[in-house]
Amino acid sequence: MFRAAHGLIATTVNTAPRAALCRACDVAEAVAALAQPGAAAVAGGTDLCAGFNAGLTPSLLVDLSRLEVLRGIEITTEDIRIGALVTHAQGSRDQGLRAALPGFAAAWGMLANPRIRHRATIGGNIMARHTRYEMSLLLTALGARLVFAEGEQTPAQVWNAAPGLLTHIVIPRHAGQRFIYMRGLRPQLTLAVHRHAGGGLAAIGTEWLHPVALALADAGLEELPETFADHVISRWYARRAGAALLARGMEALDAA
Amino acid sequence: MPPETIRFTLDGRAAAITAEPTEPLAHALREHCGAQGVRVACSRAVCGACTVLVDGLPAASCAMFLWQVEGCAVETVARLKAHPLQEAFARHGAFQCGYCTGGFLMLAKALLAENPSPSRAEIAEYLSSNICRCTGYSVIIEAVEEAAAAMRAPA
Ligand SMILES: Cc1cc2nc3c(=O)[nH]c(=O)nc-3n(C[C@H](O)[C@H](O)[C@H](O)COP(=O)(O)OP(=O)(O)OC[C@H]3O[C@@H](n4cnc5c(N)ncnc54)[C@H](O)[C@@H]3O)c2cc1C
Repeated sequence: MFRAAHGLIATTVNTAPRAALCRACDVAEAVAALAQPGAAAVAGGTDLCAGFNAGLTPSLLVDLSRLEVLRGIEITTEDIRIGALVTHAQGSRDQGLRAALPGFAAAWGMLANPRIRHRATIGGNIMARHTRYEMSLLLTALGARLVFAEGEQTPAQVWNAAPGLLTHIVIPRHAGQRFIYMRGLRPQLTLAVHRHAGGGLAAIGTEWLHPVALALADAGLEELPETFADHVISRWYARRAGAALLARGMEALDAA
Repeated sequence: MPPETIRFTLDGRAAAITAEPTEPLAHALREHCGAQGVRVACSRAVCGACTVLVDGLPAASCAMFLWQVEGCAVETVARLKAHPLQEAFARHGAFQCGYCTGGFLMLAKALLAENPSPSRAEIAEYLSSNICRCTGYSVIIEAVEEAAAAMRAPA
């Protein structure tokens, strides 16, 4: 078979680094493997493979697919507990989740596209730690906790530190809980509104900025940090457009 | 990483590839199984040219590892010979250079399995993740509409 000489074709054909593979059978094995230098977890692999083009060269790939405890969604009166390996397609179609928090299930179903949704996981979306990925913003509005084998963190904390193995995402439940995600201006700006009998939160984000939580009462987004601007939008624009999205979201939740 | 033998079915037949399990699936299918209908363009799951079905669900094979299909049923465009989708694409001229066509056909197959009567808007939405740089999308959408009708018609 004809093969072009190395260098004549782009490195897009096989960009995978020569990495060892650990098919972890339990959480302890995965944690130990991930503690090794150069190790990377593999959930769906959809972001990791793209990372190879960007120069990522892990020396050990840790396959999480055998960790059944990282699958499934459990719903109690207190909270919704989502396994890190739940895919976007599974999560957004889960009957229990659709009944408990339909706005969040609908928002989850909007992420990415059909080719990605069936493989990509909630855990991978968070742990890829790209501001253009939206799950962190949704979870910020929901006041969710991220459960790692090593302890708990908030979505905001994960931007700064990279703990080991994410096992679950926990969303607290509240009386009268409602959620809506306003995505029409993506990638410039998106905003999620989470309201319940005891209060709630909004979260705003852009393709380039970490999501920021906002009080629902802050209709003019006055508390938006001074630094909330990127090379596409100014803080002024974020406040104007964000305030409109917040008002629209609140209206939609009233009508729901 | 020492080579391993990964077994799966490819287009309905038993297949085994002995290679590094961390090879990208698209590369492994092309190099070891001669599945040249699997095209690689962006290598980052964005363009859709490498779309295959894994256990019936669409996947970007450039963004999967070979080991991830162990025991799975993998389908490529070679599976669609004389399929209503293939025939409709040919009738509508829904390709020019053809590089993206295999990916579009596989994604369309997944859509029709999930939703046998998609509206035009649903077809456009579902296929919008794949990129064609020469035909334009109207003829592709029309071909999928026609194939869907043909597949619904009683035999
Ligand atoms: C073409 C394309 C379009 C997309 N569009 C969108 C979009 O519109 N909106 C959106 O929000 N997202 C989008 N995404 C991101 C997508 O939704 C996925 O969630 C993301 O690609 C990663 O998911 P994954 O399960 O494949 O993770 P992987 O690629 O397996 O992993 C991603 C990273 O997380 C780490 N990791 C994975 N799981 C764990 C874990 N349990 N514990 C610790 N570390 C872990 C990995 O080591 C890696 O660094 C898109 C991706 C692609 C390729």
